[in-house]
Amino acid sequence: MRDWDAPYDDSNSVRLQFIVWHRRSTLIDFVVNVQVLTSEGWDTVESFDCCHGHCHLHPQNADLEPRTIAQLDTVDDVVKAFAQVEQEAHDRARIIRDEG
Amino acid sequence: MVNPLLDAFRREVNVNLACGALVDFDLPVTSDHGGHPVVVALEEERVSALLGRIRAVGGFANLFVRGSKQVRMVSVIGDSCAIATPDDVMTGDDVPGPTATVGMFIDYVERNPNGVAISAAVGHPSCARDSRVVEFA
Repeated sequence: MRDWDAPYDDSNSVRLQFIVWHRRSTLIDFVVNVQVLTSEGWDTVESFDCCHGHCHLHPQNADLEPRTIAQLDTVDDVVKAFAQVEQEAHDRARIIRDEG
Repeated sequence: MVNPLLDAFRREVNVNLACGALVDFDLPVTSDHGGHPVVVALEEERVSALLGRIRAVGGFANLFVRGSKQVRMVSVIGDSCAIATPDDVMTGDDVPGPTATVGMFIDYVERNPNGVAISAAVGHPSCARDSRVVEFA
């Protein structure tokens, strides 16, 4: 497992948190969190993960159902899903940053 | 200030760490909170902007810098973690000035293998060291 945080602005108030798992250098699982800094620390406003054979988004509103992004049948599907998630997470972090 | 090139480079680093050429690359720097902050910069940016960025993540960072021909990675770590005392405390004759670029600063780090102390800029004992070229997919 490896993890890293990618700040999206110079004051580090918005960031993406990546947690990834590899097997023989191939991506097999991941979590990507969009986080904003609050008075109580980092708050995850959106989270992407690969549980239950689907890559899905857990939206900020906990009342909403997770939104499926991709079905994961093979390892190649995980890599393709990561590309989609990275794009969505980037867009979300950029919008939050640029609104600020 | 939003820089689309910096956004693009940040995404490039993230993808390479997850499923690209940096999959097996160990991020050497850990923050006080146990995470691995990854800070990105472009060589043409002001070094003051970079130092502010490093300060904002707590003073320790895995720093990736995009130049016109290469990407370099630099470790920004605590002085106490450094194997050797930093070579320079940013007081030499050829030290990058306040208007220097990030590229000039990384060149300076390369000329000081035991690191360059940047404590005053980032708020606590810290040094930049171990500049190396990394290959992207």
